[in-house]
Amino acid sequence: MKNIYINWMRSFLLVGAVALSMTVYGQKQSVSGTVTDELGQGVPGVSVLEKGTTNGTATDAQGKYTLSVEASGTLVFSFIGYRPQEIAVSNRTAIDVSLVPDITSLEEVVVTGYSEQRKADITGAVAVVNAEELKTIKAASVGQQLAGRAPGVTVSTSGSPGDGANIRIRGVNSITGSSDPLVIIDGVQLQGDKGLNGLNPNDIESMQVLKDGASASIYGSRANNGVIIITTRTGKSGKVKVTYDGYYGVATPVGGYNDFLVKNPLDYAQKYHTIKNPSTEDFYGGVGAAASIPEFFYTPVDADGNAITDISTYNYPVDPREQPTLFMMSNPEGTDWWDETFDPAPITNHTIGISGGGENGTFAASVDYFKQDGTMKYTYFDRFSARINSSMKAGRFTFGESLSFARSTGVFQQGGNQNEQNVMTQILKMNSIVPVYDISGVNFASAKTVGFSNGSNPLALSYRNKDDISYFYRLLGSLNGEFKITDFLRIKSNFSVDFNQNSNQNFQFPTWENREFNATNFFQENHATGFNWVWTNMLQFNKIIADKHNISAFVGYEAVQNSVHNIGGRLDGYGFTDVDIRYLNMALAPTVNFVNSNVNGPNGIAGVNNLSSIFGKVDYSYNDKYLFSFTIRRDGSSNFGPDYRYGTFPAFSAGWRISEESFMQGFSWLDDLKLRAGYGVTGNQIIQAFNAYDLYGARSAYDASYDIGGTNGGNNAGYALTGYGNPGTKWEENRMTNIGFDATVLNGKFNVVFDIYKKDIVDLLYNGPFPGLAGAATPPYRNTANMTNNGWDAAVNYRGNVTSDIGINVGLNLSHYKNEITLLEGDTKLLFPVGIDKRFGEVNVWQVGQPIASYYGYRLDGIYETQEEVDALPNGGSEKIGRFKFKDINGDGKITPDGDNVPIGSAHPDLTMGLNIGLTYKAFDFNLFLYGTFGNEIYNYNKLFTHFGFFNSNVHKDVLTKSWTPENGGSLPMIDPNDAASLASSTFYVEDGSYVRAQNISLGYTLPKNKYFEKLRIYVQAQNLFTITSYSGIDPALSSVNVGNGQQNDVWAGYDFGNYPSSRTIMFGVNAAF
Amino acid sequence: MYNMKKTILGSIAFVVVFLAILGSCSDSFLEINPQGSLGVSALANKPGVEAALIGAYALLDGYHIDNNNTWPSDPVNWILGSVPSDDAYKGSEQGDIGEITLIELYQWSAGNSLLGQKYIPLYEGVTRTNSVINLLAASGTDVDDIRDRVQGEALFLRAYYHFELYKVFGPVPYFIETDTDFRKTNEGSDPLAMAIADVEAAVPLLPETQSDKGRVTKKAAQAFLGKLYMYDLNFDEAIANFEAAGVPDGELVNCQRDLFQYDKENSAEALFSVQMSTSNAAQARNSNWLNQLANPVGGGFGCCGFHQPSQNLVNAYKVNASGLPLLDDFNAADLDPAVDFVDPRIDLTIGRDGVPYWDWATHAPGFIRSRSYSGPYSPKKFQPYKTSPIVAGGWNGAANNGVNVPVIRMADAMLLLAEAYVEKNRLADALELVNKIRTRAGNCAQGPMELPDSNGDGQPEVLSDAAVIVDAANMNGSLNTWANYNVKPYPAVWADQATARKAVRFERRLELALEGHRFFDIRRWDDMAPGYAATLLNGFVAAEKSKRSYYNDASTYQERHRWYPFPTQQIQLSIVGGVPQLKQNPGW
Repeated sequence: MKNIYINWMRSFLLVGAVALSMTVYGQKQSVSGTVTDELGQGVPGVSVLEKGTTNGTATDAQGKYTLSVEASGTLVFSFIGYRPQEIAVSNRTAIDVSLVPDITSLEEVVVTGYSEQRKADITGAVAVVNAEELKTIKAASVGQQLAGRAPGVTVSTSGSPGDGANIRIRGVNSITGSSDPLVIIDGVQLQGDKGLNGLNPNDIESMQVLKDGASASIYGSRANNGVIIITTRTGKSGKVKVTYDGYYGVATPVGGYNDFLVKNPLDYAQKYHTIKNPSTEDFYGGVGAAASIPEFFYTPVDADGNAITDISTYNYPVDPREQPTLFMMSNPEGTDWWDETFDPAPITNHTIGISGGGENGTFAASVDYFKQDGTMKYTYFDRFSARINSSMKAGRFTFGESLSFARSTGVFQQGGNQNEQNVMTQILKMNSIVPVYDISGVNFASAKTVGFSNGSNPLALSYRNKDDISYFYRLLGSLNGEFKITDFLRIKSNFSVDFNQNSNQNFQFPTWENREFNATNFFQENHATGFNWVWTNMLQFNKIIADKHNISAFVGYEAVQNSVHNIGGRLDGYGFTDVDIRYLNMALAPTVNFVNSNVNGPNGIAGVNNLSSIFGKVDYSYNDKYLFSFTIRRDGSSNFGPDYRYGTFPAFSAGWRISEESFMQGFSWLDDLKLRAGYGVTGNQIIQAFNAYDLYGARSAYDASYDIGGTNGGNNAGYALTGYGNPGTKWEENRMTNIGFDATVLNGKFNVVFDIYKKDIVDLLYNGPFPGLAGAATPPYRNTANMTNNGWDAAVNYRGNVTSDIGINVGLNLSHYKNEITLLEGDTKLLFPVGIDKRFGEVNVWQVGQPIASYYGYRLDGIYETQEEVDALPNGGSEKIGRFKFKDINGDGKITPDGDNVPIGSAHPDLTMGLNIGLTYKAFDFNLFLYGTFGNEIYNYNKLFTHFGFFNSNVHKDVLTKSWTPENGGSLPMIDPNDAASLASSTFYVEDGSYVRAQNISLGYTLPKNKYFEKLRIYVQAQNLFTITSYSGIDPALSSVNVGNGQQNDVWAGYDFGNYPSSRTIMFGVNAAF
Repeated sequence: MYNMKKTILGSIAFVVVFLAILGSCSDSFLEINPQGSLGVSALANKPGVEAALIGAYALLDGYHIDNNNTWPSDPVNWILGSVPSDDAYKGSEQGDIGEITLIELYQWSAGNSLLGQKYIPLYEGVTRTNSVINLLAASGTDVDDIRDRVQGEALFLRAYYHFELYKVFGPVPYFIETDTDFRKTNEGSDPLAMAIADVEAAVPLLPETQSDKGRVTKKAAQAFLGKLYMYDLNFDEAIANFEAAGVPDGELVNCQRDLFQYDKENSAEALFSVQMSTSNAAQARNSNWLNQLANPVGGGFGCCGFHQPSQNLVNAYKVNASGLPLLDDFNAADLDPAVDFVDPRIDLTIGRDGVPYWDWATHAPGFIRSRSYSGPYSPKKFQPYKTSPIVAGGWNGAANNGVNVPVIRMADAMLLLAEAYVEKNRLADALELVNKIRTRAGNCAQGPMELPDSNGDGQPEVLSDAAVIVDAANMNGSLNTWANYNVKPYPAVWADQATARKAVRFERRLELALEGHRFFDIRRWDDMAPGYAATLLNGFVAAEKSKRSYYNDASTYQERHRWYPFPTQQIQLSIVGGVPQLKQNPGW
């Protein structure tokens, strides 16, 4: 909003200056016409100047102009954001001009930290994201659209509708809950909102990413992970404009686990299961080839353990507290669990916008409805949102306001994404002999038999979750005012609030059909209310002295408060499962007839974090040639103890526009070349509130309670230390040096940006484990590690016309970084991060000299083929012919966990790439966007199930054909019931995670303007049309959002434990303006 | 122009003053009290100290944090104290928690995550006792009337938690209330001596009786002190403390089963127990949650079939016609219930086919998850009656119960005292104690669950306890189709010290089987005669290979198995200046 306003101001000033100096010369004639934009709409305020003179005017609100000029003269039309055009008058009296957008305009003004700057004056590393290109990816949130769109920015998200995205700027910078960049939407500061789901992507007008210390340090302690500045659409003076954008599409699953899981239950029994689990021989009637498929795989047993075969005794009571009598028949065809759980699903979005304004005020409003069903059955996300932005002028005062409201609801994957208990992993686990339903045909079946999987029926899991809706309400608002004291001095104040209310509910059905069944039913509900406000006050100075010294500066004060209040509870033992009774109401749930009823809660927690800051910035440029910028910010945060509360964050940068030097004037192909260098310090303070204090309490109703009276039913409440405080925890700092250049060549056709940087991240905040002597109280966040992130990022854009009908634009961006831990707390050499259930020991390590969160394990060295090999390299007694052989890294002649486990890869890529290719031919437009990542590894944790049949899961087809045998050898270990060694963490789980994906291909056609439409474009689009990868899992694009304990996303990046995969979407859409 | 300047200067002044005002507010703006928690000062008073003490007791059940099932911290110690001994197999099915198999087969490593799951919860207990001691010291005169008792209870609990650590890891750091450095070294640490000192200090502070049954009494602490001295091989002090606790004349309940029944627990024999509760308010987590894996998988339980008794243990219950154990050749042949006489305690300890499993059902193949893998027997001692209140907990329908876990019970103390007497060559005194236990063993046995129809209504008579547990007169009655019960006291004092030692240790095994003592006892006896453990355990493994095929993969028990290795992570976390302060045990 602001940058547009400033554009206007500049235009008016220019026009004013031109008008004042207007004089009349020679042979004059009057020329008039209309200046239109690329949409064919009249553009007001365009400067029209007779070349070589000061004679000029500006277009009116309809884009019309009239000017008296020399008949042989030349008119120059210029407007910010468009290429200037020179047109000879040649005695004409009517000249209409269509402006061509100039994406590389140096005059473009962008919002950076608290102020606006000409792009040409920026000395830090700031990526200006093309909002229009961003919107070509149709998705629920801007986070999902951002992947590959700006150099240095990577995004991790899953295929789950409405799923959050981990946006990372130049690698991993922080580890804790604050590892997300600071996002500023019209002055509202958000951090840690992974969804940004409350923001309608269609509302975005501009987006800047502040990547380096020099540009971001004005945000001080909140900028360690970079800053993303988003401004939303504002109105323009002139005619009221109505727009409609809508699309409808269908998503289909791309590849599934059914690509490789064994489907034929007889094959599975004969070639794998009875050999691996000889105890199931009774059930299958024999081992190996002798195995057969029985008619029933589960029948109930009587009190003496004898099978009941009379199926008329089948009973599934209505009351969920009563145990049913179940019978399950084998499915000799084999159940395709993937196919049962995934289906094509629709996606649709409709946005109506209205905007306009008069002389003293503008407005823009929009309403939006978005709905996406998941390809995983019963998952979805939808959003209704509305926004109104307005701006008013009254003399020296300017007031603006931005207000948006969004209500989103969704049902997400049961069990959470990337979790052993989720639907995805149950598909791996569930044996194919199990049918979807038991003999009733309506109640779910599962592997309720000894020796079968301990998993759940994935469809049942998803189906029963279908009414567990999460609700998100969000109100974002900001109010800003500005008073112009003089031409060069202004006071600005901005107050913004973020009010959000989220709730989720969960009804747990009894799972009688499971082998490890859950007999209880319960309902739980949690509510969280967040209220955050920011108040910023600034004094701003802008002046050009003697036409050469351009000084802009500001000082400001800012106060921030973030608060959250949670409350939730749970009741057990409901007598019904209807959706209508799912409330936390004692009257609805536990009944005296059932002793197995529990009450948990209510429980409530709260957090408050206050920040208080002063900051200032000075930008100075000499002759548009030498540019200097200095910022400083001092922040105080309530998250730290009194001695470490304040931090100071300075930054300095300079630029040299070499192209302005006289010695460069001979290089006519070079439009602009600017060298930039900067150094800045940013910080991070987002840790748990009250980190400085020892906290006593009880984490739950059972944590510190005890039946001290020995009554067998008592529960005396107790207290314990639940959290250690650390008053000595101090700011995490990110010291960053950046050197780069911006170049524009060949009349703006090529545009190149290149940056190289070095980041030293010191005193990394992490609440890593304390030594065991500290017990189990939560360790405080401490300054745990130092690390470096060094890298470069580059962008090259080309825009040009092959013929007058054919236009091409190509944008390529590339990023590289290298992360390395340089120091760990207490000179520790290794640290094993917490956060997930580890089924086979440590799989993740922080080690000095290695990238943070490296995979950890043995190096696989084939299979023990002979007894000599076995004797030569013992592995704690587990070494045996046919089992995996690991490398003896420390050379002590034996395999030991301490000596031979090493870092074996990481999720950090060597290179990420975004390639955007756009073509226009007459009214047609075509766009292709490719995203690629190279050199990153994936830890395919799913192999625990697919290759080792953990918990008697289903397995990969390869296991039936490639397992080692004495006769034929093989690449997988021998099927051996006693082999607990081969599944140890090793390079066997680690795979190349590189891929290139066609994120988006679209073809559009714009109809000629007519009396009904200003503009009407129709298009078809395909997302995720193809992926080139060698990864053996179903989707190499893994989400790291909320993996682990939810606070340490980047720690568990790159692990595939059941990731909701991306789907392929084909859609049809319309953009219309009236 | 003058006005303009004035405006500018005025504005600047305004902003400067404005910033100064806001800036001066910021110190208080940045000071926020913790919300939803209590600070130390709020708890330094009587209710605070008492509540912190409850918190210290609460770790006895080993469970503290949700979603963190630290199975080895179960006070029954079945993973680290029973499975690696000759009493039990891991159970369940192959591949289920493979790390326990590694423990069972002596393929231990510092990387085994089970070790950390024992280590941390116990130190959590230690932390809580230190909290109590510090809060007590910080409290005013209002706590004077409870000061001694609370201090005594806290010191006892601190000794208990450290002793549990000692049994597993040996030389652990002893963390006391004045310690603040979590990287405290274990070099030169003697946790056993420190635990003894704590309990010595606690005994005079503790009352003879406590109104709450779950609290430690003076007598219990003295008996526990005797046990610590047994581990210290200080038999004189052990005898002195056991005698002071009244162990020689100690009271035994009529039937061993009574110790594990809700309505009969906390008896005179149960000197100090972990109190398990089926309180609804605590979602079953105050029940014996961590023992839920060690239930039969079938028979109405649901999960999970771990901790299955070994054939060797079953055979140990064979007796000769005189009702005496077969000390030397008990394992020469497997129990044949049709012909062998057995000690009735076998069916109070072990579930086996054809025998009623309390009042649940007759034990049948369906009770076992994977018979060919881990044999036909189920654990039974810690399972409640079907009629007892139980709490369903998550995925495990009937696993969570309120059966207490004895920390020290009179029979345990008596048999330890008997050992001490043997070492002091007081064989007759030892015999008296052993015979008390054997006499009690003859008092009761598993009954038929239900009695024949006697009132003519066509239904069997269900007489609850009387049918589930029968007395001596009925134990070999017409309804018993599964065993020839026979158990008798030793008729005469043993011929020599070596025989006595063997008999006392054998009795200890029979009486306390599956209560988690066996492996630690074996290592303790190894301290007295190095090589004992290796001979016994490697002999057991060798004999078992023909029965349990996976034992073919077993490694051997060696000298280094005297202590479990410290977890790698703990050693790494203890590094100061590049040097681990936690020294790894020898051989690991």
